[in-house]
Amino acid sequence: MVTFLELRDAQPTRLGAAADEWLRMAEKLARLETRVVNELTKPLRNSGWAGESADIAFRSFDRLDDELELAARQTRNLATVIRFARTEFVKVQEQLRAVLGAVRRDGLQVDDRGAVQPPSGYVSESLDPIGYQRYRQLIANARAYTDQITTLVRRASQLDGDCARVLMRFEPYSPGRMASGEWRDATGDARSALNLMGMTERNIPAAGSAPQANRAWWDGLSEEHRSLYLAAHPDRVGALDGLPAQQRHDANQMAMRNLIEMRSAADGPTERLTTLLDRLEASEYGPQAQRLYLLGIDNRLDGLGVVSVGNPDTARHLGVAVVPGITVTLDDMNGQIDRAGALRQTADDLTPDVEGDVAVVAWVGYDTPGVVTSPAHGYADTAAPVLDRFVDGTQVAQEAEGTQSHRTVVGHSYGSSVVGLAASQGNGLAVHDIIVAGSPGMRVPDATHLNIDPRHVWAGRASDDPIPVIGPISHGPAPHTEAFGANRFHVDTSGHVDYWRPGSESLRNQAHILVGQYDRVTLDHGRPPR
Amino acid sequence: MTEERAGELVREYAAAVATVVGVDARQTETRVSPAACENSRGELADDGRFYVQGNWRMPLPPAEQAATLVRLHDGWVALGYEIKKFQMFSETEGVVIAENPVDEVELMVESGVPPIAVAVVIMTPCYRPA
Repeated sequence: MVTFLELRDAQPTRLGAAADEWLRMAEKLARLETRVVNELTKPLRNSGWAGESADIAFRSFDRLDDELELAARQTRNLATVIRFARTEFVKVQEQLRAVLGAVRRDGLQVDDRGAVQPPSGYVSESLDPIGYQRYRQLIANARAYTDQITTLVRRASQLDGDCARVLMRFEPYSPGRMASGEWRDATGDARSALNLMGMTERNIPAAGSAPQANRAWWDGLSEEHRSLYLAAHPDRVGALDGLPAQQRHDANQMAMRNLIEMRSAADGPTERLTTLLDRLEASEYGPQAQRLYLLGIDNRLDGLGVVSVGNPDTARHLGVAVVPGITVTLDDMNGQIDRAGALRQTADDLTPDVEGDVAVVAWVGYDTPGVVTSPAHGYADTAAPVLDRFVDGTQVAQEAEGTQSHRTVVGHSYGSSVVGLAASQGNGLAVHDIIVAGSPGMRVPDATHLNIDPRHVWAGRASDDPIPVIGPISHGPAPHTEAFGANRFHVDTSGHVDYWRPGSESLRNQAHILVGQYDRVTLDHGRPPR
Repeated sequence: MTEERAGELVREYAAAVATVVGVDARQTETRVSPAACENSRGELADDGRFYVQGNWRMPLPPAEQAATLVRLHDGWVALGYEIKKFQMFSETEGVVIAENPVDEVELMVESGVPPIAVAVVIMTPCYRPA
């Protein structure tokens, strides 16, 4: 309960300095987390130490890293609540001061309870009719001022209580240790803070919004509000195409931790999530060029995952690998990351002037069809606009970074049908090259329907690739045939799934296309761009 | 085979390539990492089978690239390696790929763009863990 005197004499502007200190503390914690990674964990992980003791040590450092990451996030969000409290208390106090100024101008007095006293003495209406009118007015003013002061004190009390309740939520979930539930608790804390500030989930652009709109919303937020939205609704923020990759990664990783905690609490399986989380965390200890960014996660049904090897926002050459549509699920994400990593590394080594200028995204961004039961066309129809928005989002994020990037989409198997459909609709895909391998058809009659110069369409197929038939409907002519009009790059691997075998010509050819070294691509037929 | 030993093996091959190129392999390594082998359906092996791939980016002036690729090619022929590809893209840029039939390790050296370094990839066959 705030009293009149407390509100009058408080110095809420000082809270601004306090918020600044909390923010500095958050930055210190974030720097400490970086130091733990770089100076403790990375050397230990890269030392070659292995075995049971090593596993225990690594887990211990990972936990320390997580604790600092979470503490930094919580401290930053807490600073935002303090800053909000400062702004709101200052507003209320300024309103109070305006009322007290009016009281003074009227020559009235206010007591310590905030009640404005009526004017002393009595003025006779008959002796001094003008003075009497003035006297009556002052009595009315005193009542009005008292009401205004009461309202402001009540507002300050309400604000004080609301802020206290939210700040109390920010207490550690389990003080002194990193317990299961900490991440979900942090999400709950951030939601309370957002509600306090009158901001809700409804402010977040709806799923499927244009990446430009998503980015405009994000750029319009203060850094502190971004942190709150990220922690409060990590799944929603992480899914927004067009946002910076690092912040999508932070949001999606937090969403994944929430999922793991929820499933653990319900005794549900968490293996595929923890496996992916371990892989993401381990990449923090490796070279920056091979760092993993989680750009999408959904654990429902077969699960969806989008992981970039390398930073897609700053890559001069970006590949989006739309993975085979048959039997690929979130459980297979590790293998897909390996493939993307092999393509990225091969391409990066071919451009030696800048290390880390290539990124490749493994995109399992749609629910993949089973071989027998699925109406394949329906899945492609659903997936194509999702892929289109994702690619547009990479362009938006790159432009915001000032990156001039050469973008390539790579479709394998059924993924190539999704690529074909996405490229043939509307204004096509925002890419410079299209590669397909082991394609059952791209849902177009030939390469001229892909909204791109056909010389930038590349198809590969192993001679013994028994491309599986999905559903009863044809996906169109095979793109590796001469009649399709694409370049057929040479494939030296066999079967349906070996196109990304490290060291193979199949992979090298794709790497050459990815970095625009068209003259090095070995062709079976076609006419490469010059 | 252990992953550690496989890693040493690819680094030994890289050291030999680096000697011909005239650089220190340790200073030019970008990645040496094991990965699970895949079966014919593209699924990761769940029996622990793995391979190791190493990548190096070895600085080499453009004027020396062609002669170096020829020296590597000739040296590997002399060692009995199978040359899988040897191609010059231009006067200064090319690629040579070979496999040692004894241990099935594959080696690739290719000019970068711009040709200020060569990309070196060395890959083991699939091993069962020791």
